[in-house]
Amino acid sequence: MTAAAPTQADWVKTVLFDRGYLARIRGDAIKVYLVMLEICGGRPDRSVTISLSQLMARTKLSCPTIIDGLSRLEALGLVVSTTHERGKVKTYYVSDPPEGITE
Amino acid sequence: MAPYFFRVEHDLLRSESFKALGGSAIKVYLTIGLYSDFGSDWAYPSIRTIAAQSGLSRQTVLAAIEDLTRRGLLATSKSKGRSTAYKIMRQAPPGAPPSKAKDKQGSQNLPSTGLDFLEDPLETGPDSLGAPLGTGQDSFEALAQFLGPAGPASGPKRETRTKEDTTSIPIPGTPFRLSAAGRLLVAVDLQELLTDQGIPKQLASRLAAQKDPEDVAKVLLNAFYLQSQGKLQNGPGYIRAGLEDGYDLLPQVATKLETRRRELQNRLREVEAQRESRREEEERLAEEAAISHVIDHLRPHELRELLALAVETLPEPIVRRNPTLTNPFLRAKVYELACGEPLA
Repeated sequence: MTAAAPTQADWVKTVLFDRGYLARIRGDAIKVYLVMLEICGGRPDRSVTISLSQLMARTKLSCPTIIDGLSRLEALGLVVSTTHERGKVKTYYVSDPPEGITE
Repeated sequence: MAPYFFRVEHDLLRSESFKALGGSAIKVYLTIGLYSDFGSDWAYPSIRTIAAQSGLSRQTVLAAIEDLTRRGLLATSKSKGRSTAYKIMRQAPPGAPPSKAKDKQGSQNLPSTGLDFLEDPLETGPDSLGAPLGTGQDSFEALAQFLGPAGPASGPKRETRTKEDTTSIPIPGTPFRLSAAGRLLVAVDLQELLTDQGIPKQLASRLAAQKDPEDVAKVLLNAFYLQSQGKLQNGPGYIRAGLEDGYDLLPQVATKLETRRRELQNRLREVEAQRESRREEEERLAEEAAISHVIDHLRPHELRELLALAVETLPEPIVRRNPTLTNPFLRAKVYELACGEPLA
């Protein structure tokens, strides 16, 4: 018998509090992460396509701050960059980060 | 707990304040939301717990809490000997977030329509017992005099005018009145008043319809008092929490109101005494006019006969002292003899 899949809210709570990611997200990266979470409906392993300008409009952060925030989130494993080709649109998906965190 | 937490997150994301809030404030907001009690909405995490969960320093947490309360996203309730309670406010008051310059002014950061009237340098309130209802026109000084820490010595000026049919007294600096029985009277639009204090219109309408006007007045008086003391950081949050949880009057406010009520009682007694005195004087004048009328219409020989009869009837010392018609006893006796009935 398989265990019941966690609800979206359970997952967000687990990631941020139980796994301690909230304490490890520095600066304004939490704002970027929350916006991405909302867009992906709070479900893990979902691709998010959002432009920088939209992120800037929703968070009122500057472009460098958002890029810095995304880098931090990526370093934590909260989001994963899926395209690395120069000149291509960089996309992320919200991943289910591991229990053990390495920064 | 889990679905509740997610609701907090969406409330935050959809509020305009989200854009202005810093990362630390958001983390603190989320952490407090996590600890919120499902039923009462109140959360009791310590600063240390919030700091540990959010990865912030204690100082940053305190600053974030202050920021959140100022923006109306968080209500705090501090009581001596007990842990501080926090409450996530679902609908933050609209309007631009306070600037840093305003931050230093503490409680003045409430929505502009809310408590501005307290600072309106207009005529002071407690001029008259019969003064019209204050609807925010009273000055901050009046409120400060009434609710201020300096005590009765610096209280409101004494009323100089009276109005006999008034059985309530205005509370300086507020749109409320106090009856002699100690009841708070509200004759203003509570919904508008709550909206002016930064409560969202829809919520203000609901609260005004559901809550007892006296209860609303109590919470508003508490809020006015706290603001006059510079202790109110989040007016709308306090008012909302107070109405939902049924806050009673703060002891300081209750004492001031009791003083005011006694003042009203004394004034009413004075008014009643004046009224009684005036009534007695009118009766005396009416009697005197009736006596004069009767005496004026007596024939000279009738008057002489009645006067002699009256002098005989009255005790000697009184008549001997003034045996003329100017003697009130004699005049009254003559009237009695002429009309056949004594004066009432």
